[in-house]
Amino acid sequence: MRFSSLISVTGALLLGVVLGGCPDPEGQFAEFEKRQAALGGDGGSNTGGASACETPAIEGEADGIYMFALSVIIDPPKAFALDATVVTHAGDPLTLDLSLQPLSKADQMTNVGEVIAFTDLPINAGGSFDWDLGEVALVNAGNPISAFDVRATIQLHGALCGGDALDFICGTVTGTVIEPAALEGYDLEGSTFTMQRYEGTKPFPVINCEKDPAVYPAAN
Amino acid sequence: MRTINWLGSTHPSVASLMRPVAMIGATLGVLAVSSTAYASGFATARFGGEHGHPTTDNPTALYYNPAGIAEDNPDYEKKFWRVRVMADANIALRWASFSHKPSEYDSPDPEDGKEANSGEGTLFNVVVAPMAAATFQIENFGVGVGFFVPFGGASAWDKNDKFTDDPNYAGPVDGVQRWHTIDGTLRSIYVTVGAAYDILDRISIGASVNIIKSEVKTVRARNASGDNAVPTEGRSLIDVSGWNGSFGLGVIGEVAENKVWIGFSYQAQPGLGEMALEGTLKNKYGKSDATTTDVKLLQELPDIYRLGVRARPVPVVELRFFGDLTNWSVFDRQCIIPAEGEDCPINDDGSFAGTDNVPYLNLARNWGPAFGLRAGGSYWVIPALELFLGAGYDSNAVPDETLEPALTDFQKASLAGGLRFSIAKTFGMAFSYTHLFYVPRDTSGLSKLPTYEAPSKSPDSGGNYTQTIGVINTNAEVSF
Repeated sequence: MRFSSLISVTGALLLGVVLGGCPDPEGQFAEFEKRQAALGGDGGSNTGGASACETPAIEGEADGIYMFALSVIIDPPKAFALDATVVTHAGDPLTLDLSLQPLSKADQMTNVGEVIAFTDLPINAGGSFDWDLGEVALVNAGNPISAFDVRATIQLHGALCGGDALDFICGTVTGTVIEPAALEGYDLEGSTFTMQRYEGTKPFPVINCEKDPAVYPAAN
Repeated sequence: MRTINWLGSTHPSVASLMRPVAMIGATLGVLAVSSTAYASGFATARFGGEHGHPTTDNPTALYYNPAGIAEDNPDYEKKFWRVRVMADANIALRWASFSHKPSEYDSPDPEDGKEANSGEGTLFNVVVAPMAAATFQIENFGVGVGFFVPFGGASAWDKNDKFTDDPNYAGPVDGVQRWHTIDGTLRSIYVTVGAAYDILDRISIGASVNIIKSEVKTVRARNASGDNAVPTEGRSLIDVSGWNGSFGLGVIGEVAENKVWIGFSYQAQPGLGEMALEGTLKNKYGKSDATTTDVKLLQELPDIYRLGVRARPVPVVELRFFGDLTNWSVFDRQCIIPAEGEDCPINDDGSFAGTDNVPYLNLARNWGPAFGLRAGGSYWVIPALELFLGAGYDSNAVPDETLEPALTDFQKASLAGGLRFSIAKTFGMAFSYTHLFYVPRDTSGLSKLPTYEAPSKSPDSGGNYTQTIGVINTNAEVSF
């Protein structure tokens, strides 16, 4: 029993009353942390399930336009949608340039905000990759979870396999939220991403390797 | 104990002035385990029992109507000066429940966590709210000092045994209501000084000044997105407090000598408007480590108008009728902003309307004005023994759209009965029991909380609400 609780109970006893159900918010918070730690901290979240591949992609094979969906563990179904353009470059290792155009949270079709570009992202010999994108800023207009601009460090983990596998790339996301301040320090582990290659009509975003569709509010 | 923090490091000069008051507050505050709503909203002004009203002449008048501290009690002999000291305690036994059915706004229960967000949450709490006051009359002039807890709510909900030691999820054991409250206290403690003058023994006018310590300390389940997804469930603990001032004014007219009194009083808003309570917000979201941030909580508490009539048609009978109008419409939100922020502009859809100092959380309240009416009477079996009865009605301040288990309100009726005995008119002691009957509410499908944008979005609070409270009041008064 905490000292303050002891004092409260003592005070009540002076009045001849035995209290039941004394509020102890700090104690309740600590008990939750203890219970969650006992679970190993997983909390039931799933991961993208990325793995390396038998036939890694080669230069030019992955080039194209993709519907990039970033499913954040904060609210997984409401994936950020971005148009991704991929251009690969020969080398050892193979590298690629990735440019991301955020799409409107209202329709997942309309461009909003500035293009975010990354160059020389390396692909391992087995096709796997671990890209550290550094700090990434996403505008409010493309944020389907809340009405705020978002800034976070983001790392993508997946595999770029050759052949038909290039039509759908998926993996896991790690990183930490920097803004909004209310979520500063939020660990993004458990987040996922997908990339669906397309020509013409944009496909609807899917949020993980199981291709579960994103879900947006009905008004959208 | 957080008593040291009460002194407020940001206002050292005020803090030093308030030190004696803080010591009184700390001493009595430890007894103020808090109370729960006996009137509208989370108003808890029931000290004095049936003798706490806007025409009273006992020391509770300091709060209900400061004009009363200059009034003479017709049972007491006239004398040049008089001291009256009163101590009072309300001991409340509260039973409450909240039942929630899955709604379109709920995140689906995980396969291995069915009914994590539906079912019934219950509580049984015993809470104590003390009061102490003293008045000093010289001829027609009266002064007084008192300690009151007129606003307060506390709750500690039962656990959901189905999820005790659950191997998959750490959160659901805290009950279906956990997205709104698990444990919490919200209270405003008043230290009041007042003065009054009885003009020609017929009209008393009085004024009081309140020094108010307000606190909010509560923990709830929280997801960063504002939904109730169990796999990502976290916790949010806010612990804020602050000092404010306010005042009271009142008048009592003795329209028929020793027979009829009419009183009217006004209690201003704590802080005379928006209060900024300072402290910390501790969040644990998902698998992230807990973070603690300095914050302010912005809120407004109501001002209150009281009107009452007291009559003694014969010396052994007293009749009382009184009511209050409490302006809960000012309690439109509780907004948690960064410590350096000053305001919290919110759009109608719940989104933030400003640019800097984005709120961490905005709890939409949108309460409305509420009123209470009460009638009662006393009969003196012998001069030393008084029997009294009372009955009342209080309206509801909380709309269906924002009702949630942390702060509930209902339409309610109450019945009270008790006795008071006195010895040689210098010592009196009263006991009474009041039972409050709350009309159950079903707000299923009516909650707007999940439809708001961040930072106002919260899980669906629609459901069945029930409550009943029994209040034991005891007080003692010494007069000399």
